[in-house]
Amino acid sequence: MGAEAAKRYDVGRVTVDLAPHYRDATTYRWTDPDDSDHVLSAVRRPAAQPLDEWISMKRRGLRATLEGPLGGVATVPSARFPNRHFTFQSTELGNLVLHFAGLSVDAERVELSYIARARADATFAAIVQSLSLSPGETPPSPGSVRRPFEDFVLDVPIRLVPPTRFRFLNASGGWLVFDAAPFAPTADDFATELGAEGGVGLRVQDVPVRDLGWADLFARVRHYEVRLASEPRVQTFRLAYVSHSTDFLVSVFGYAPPEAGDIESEFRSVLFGMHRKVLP
Amino acid sequence: MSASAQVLPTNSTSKDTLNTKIVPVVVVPGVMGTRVSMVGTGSPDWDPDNNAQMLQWANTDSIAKQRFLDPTSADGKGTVMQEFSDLARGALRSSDLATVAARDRPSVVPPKVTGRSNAAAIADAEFLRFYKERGWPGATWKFYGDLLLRLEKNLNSAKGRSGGTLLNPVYASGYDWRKGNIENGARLSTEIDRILARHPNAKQVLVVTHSMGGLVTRASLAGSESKILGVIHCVIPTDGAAVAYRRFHSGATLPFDAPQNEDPPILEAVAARVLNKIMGPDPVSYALVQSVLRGPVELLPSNDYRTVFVETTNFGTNLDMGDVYRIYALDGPPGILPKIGASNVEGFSWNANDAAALRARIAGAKTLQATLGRRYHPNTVVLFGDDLRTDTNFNWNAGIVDKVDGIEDLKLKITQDGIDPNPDSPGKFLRGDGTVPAVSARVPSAPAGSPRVGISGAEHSVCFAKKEFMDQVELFARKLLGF
Repeated sequence: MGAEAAKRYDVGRVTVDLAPHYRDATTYRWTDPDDSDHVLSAVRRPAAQPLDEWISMKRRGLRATLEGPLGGVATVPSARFPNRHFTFQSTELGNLVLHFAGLSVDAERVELSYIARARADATFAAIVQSLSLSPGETPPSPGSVRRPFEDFVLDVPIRLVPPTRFRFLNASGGWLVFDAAPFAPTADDFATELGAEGGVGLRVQDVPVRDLGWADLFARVRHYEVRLASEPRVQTFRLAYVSHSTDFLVSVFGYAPPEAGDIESEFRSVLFGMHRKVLP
Repeated sequence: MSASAQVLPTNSTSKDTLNTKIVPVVVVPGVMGTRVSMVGTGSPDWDPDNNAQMLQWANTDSIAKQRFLDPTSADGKGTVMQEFSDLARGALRSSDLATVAARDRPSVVPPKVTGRSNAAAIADAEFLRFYKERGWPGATWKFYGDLLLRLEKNLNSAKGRSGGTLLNPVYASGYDWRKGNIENGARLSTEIDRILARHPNAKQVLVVTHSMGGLVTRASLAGSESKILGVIHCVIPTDGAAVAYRRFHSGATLPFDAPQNEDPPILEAVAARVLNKIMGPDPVSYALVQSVLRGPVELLPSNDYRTVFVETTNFGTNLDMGDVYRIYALDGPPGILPKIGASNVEGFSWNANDAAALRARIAGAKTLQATLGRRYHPNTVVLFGDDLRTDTNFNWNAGIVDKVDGIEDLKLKITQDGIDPNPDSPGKFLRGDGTVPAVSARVPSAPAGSPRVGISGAEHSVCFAKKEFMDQVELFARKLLGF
């Protein structure tokens, strides 16, 4: 039997083909750049309970925690997956309205939370309805853009911008973080981020930079050796700034635990699996 | 205001301070007061400045919360936020701090000069970067914004201090409050080194703490005492807070956590109450979440809190009241562990793994207190809130005295005031800031002569919203800095 095929992911302005031992651990959150209280989140989890039982549990927890009107349970009949949803308005949190849905996908559940300053039942119903495992040929619902979310796509209100940080974990404890924010993070940002995680006695050793090129992309790769307070062994990281011509596209942080050996070849194959998205 | 001693400690080094001496000021937030960016799959950020994120937390079930809030789990990985909240960004832009910052960094141009242009956008970015480098984005603006703005402006604009380099640049040192205070104390030591390295002419910093930030700072003293000019502790639960015990038996919920002193409601206080409710509205939910939280469990009353704060005659006479942590570790009242199999409002059950985790947290709390001992900075100032109803002691002998949502087996009588055994204040009713009783926050074990000032009506989470409280912070900061 042949090796399982690599899987392609959208990470901002590039796609990346990752080996199947990587799991998408990105927090999928689409936010309004002008209003951080306007946000859509999607998450996939194992389903431990039947849908109706689970939605009742969620409602009991919410009612016990916050004050505000809790709407009844409803269904979007035209959705591709069995679903239940409700709304809740928090009088303690700026009267924000939470639109929440659970959808059963085989043995898993997709949770969709849409928070807005006012009820937006039709918008939310369109989001729930749009969740699909294939992009489909129909146009997105009015005022929406079709966005990837793990193996799915869904229609996201056009004002909401996609996440810029994509995180993938592998079975050996390594990880990859793609940061597609418009400005390249600096080495200081990197050190700060590690320091914030308990890097007491932090020692960052910047091993010489290497440049790589493939297709029409270019990467400047930095190597770091870091000692964290929580882990006496030296940790090895890779950081690559990927660009097209003079246009910065994405940074990639890569980490493999000491017992996983050298991460060099794996990191290179990740970089070479990146392709610039050609926009229509 | 109740002032027990408004003099500076005799060993203050500030009397020799020249007004050209650079002494950075470091603000250390309290529990839950640092914004933490969560990178676990699907976890909301811990961002009290962002209502939408906190609404997401409220809609996160107890088991998922337990996973996300465990700083040692893969799903609980988090970092102190490096970007400003919308709230902070807006407040900074409407402040006049650009004028202060421009003295230190010429590339920060006050917006009135630049107007609306590309140059203005660049100047704005420089301005925000200036305070980002000071760690300000990590502190929840709702709770610390006013403090940061006021200290930065007033300490650096005073007569003789308003030209050239800022003499008292104000930093915020946020930390992952889910971790233990000893670990965060070590982190603060590193942070102080980093701050001093940025100011080569500075030898010491002044630290202003809020709530649990005081314990973090005390834990940092082993490595940093000589680098600290003095510490102003605001509402520090130095010997713990009884509310941390009570919530294991009531949850963080009404009527126990009823608002006080809020007519009209203080929005920041409402926000603080929401944070507590997210921790768990019923005993089992609360215990499930607390079982993974190091710092918060370390706020349980210590053996120094009072001789007896839990009256337990009904449970027999064999309880070792000499070590309150042994009481906490009991399954069921008066311990803080729910009985195995007890379930919460969502239907999740408390199990043996949860119990082991919470016992480890209790052991951590005991270790913290043993480590801190009675160590305080020699130049310690204590500011505390007073005259608000505050959980102080508990009597398990009183039978059923309260029902909450039909929970009839709640046998805990919560006594929110009582007689203060302190001989200095005979007959005075125990009071506090609504969260931390004055018996703990007035820091009985602080060095002799340490100024202690109680501010009437200052509520724990929003003490800096109280003008009289803020006035005292600035007053003592000026004294310690040698104004």
